[in-house]
Amino acid sequence: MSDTNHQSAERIIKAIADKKLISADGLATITKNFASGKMTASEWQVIAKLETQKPAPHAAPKA
Amino acid sequence: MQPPKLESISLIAFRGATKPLVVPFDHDRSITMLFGENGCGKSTIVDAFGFVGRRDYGSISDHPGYDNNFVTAIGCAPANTSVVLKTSAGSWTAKLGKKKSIEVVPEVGCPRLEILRRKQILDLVDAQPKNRFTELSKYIDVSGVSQSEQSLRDAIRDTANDLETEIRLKGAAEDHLNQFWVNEGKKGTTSLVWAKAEAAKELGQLNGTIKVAKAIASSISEAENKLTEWSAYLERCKKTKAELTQADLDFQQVSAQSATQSGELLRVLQEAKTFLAKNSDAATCPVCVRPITALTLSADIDARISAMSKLADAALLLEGAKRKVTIAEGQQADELRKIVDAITKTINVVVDADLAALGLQPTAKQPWQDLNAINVDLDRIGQLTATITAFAPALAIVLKSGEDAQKIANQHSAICGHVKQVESSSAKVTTLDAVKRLLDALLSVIDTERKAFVSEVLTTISTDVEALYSRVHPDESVGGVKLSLDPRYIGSLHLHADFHSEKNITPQSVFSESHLDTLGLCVFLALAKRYSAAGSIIILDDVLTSVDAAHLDRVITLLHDEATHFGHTLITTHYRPWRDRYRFHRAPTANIAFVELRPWSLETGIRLSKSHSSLADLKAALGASAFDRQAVASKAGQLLENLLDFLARTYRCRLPLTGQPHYTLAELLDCFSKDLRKVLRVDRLDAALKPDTAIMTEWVSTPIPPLLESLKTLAFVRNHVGAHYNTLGSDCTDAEVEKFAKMVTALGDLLVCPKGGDLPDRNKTGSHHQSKSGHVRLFPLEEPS
Repeated sequence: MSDTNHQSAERIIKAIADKKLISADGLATITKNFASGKMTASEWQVIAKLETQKPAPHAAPKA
Repeated sequence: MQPPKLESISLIAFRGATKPLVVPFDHDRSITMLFGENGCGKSTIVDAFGFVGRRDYGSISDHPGYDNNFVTAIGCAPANTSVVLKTSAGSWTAKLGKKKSIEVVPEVGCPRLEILRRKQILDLVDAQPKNRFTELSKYIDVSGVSQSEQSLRDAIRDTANDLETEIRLKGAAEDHLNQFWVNEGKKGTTSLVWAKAEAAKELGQLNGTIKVAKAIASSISEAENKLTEWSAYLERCKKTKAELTQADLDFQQVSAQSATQSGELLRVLQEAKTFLAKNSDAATCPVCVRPITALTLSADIDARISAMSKLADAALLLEGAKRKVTIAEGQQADELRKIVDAITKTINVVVDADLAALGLQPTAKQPWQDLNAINVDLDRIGQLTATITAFAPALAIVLKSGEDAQKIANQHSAICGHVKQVESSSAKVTTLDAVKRLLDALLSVIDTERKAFVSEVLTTISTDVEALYSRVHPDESVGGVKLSLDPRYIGSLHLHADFHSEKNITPQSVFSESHLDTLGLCVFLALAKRYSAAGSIIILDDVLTSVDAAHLDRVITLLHDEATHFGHTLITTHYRPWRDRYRFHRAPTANIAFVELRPWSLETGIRLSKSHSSLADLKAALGASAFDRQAVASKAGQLLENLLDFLARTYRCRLPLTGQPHYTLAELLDCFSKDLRKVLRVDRLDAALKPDTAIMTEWVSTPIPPLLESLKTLAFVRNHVGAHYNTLGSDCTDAEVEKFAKMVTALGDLLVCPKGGDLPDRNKTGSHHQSKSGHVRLFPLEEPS
């Protein structure tokens, strides 16, 4: 993968972390697989499901 | 650390290289111009770089339907095809592998290559936005991010589908419960509250009722079936006995018809036949002990049995009838057991049943209790039909009770299922809704940040492109180059620019071909500069053919300035004005090496010839061991014309107006006015004479007119020796030719900048002209008035 791809991925992951959309566990999975394009639909769903089952500090954003 | 220097590229059996070819590169010059007219092999050499550096087939793959077999030179074996790229850091060899793959050894470390062809310029500038994005995708590659983003979109779609499904299932279950609730008179506050209460009810007694009713109905039905089977059995027995009686009667009648055809005789004969079949070698009769021949006797017996066939048939039928009767009588015990078991089971089921739960009086059991009291099985069977008939009214009530109980149980089961569905779907809807909202939020962040990132990259690139483009087209009211993503589509890239009063337009609509060419070149240079690693090799393959003289000078300046960002810049062209700019010092030659290609042929392959500036050429001719007076005179004359033309144009000197701007040496030597000759001089920085020193403080001033006056005295040498056949040429001595050439060389050394190799054609101070490096200054700025 190119430098631009990695730079873009780092920026996106940082934005997700800054907005506290998901916890460290989910963020670790995304950090591992996001830039390489290896995140699958089911992985996204698993991460989101685990996050929604967790209590605070962050809650799913309002629509 | 210095980036590795390009040393050479060698081609063997590669495309046009029907003979081995080595293209050397000058370590000290970071730009190489490869000049050759069409069909000389320029593209072959560029493709060789792509073959080893990018593992591709280069320009031949630009054409649809290309045949990569022609990567091997005509008449050569594919196994011999190879390209070797050599730098100061190592060498890399590319060969054809299996199935025309390209294998490079070593696999890593080859210098990064950026190759720009004219087709790419057209693809970049003229393409639809999607194709333009493809052209630039390797520079703004976010493919991994895009793939993960796409899978997130898939996840959202799948989650939305699941959510929709659960909402639909929940709604359907609620509708069903509501219908039950209405049918039951809307008891309770809501259908769901009522349904939950219903679902919580125990159905133990109801299930017992259903079970008993089913058992009674089932056992009575089974008893009826067995009774039918018993009747069928009795009928079968009766029939077989009648058949036996008839068969016996028939046999006796046939026996009586012929005394000789008695059944006893037939049986004796059949047994004798059987005996003879088993004892074929018997020599005497077993009855009378007379001598016999077994075969003869057996044949005689067959003839007699045949004559008694009717009797035999009757005997067979009789035997068959007897067997049937025997079989039927043998089945009696089994048939009897089946029906008795069925009757016993039915009696037990009815007697043990709680008839009150089914809405019956206990007396309803009476017919079955009466039947149970009969001890003889056959009598009990005989009474079964009457018992069933007597129980029929009670059975109808049993069946009704069972059906009613079953309906209630079914509704209960449905209510339970729907309640469970509502509860399950409600939980899932809550979860899926939360999951979807989180996924939507993630997508919003990713989509926004990805677009922002690419937009920022494009803005930066646009700024770089604009900076480069404005240097090629200063004060032309064109520019404002802007690359931007189309927010409506993924992977769609717009290219806009300004054109006079029109802002943000598609440049291909109004720009000239040369403006589009230079725009494509600037985009490429900006990208290559931004994304290339140190030591990258940049190749411009015949990219500029349409630019005019003024723009060409600026492009050359731009390329020289930008070359410092790359390891090596290779320019190929068939555009002779470009090549001549260098040859005649109208562009900086100090950092550029020349390679000229001679016409290609199958027999010779690609041929190189070294090319130099005209000043270097003249010096080389002068220094040659064999003095070629004609060549020296010719080269000196050509260079002198070039230098005088430069001075005459710089000072707008007066020359005869002719149809073509072709002036004689005499006219050019005499065109400088008296006032100009008084002040015409060159100042050269001392350091220019000592390129290795860093001290540049001493300026050396040299007037030009004395040199011009001297040249006037020998200018005839060019015509007499270097240009024409005439007897006057024979009168010129070699010394005169050499002196003329050395004076021209002196003028050249005076005017050509030793640092940049260019003439002082820039007005940067308003007081004089100077070379690009500033090491040579030409005074005055204008002809004195």
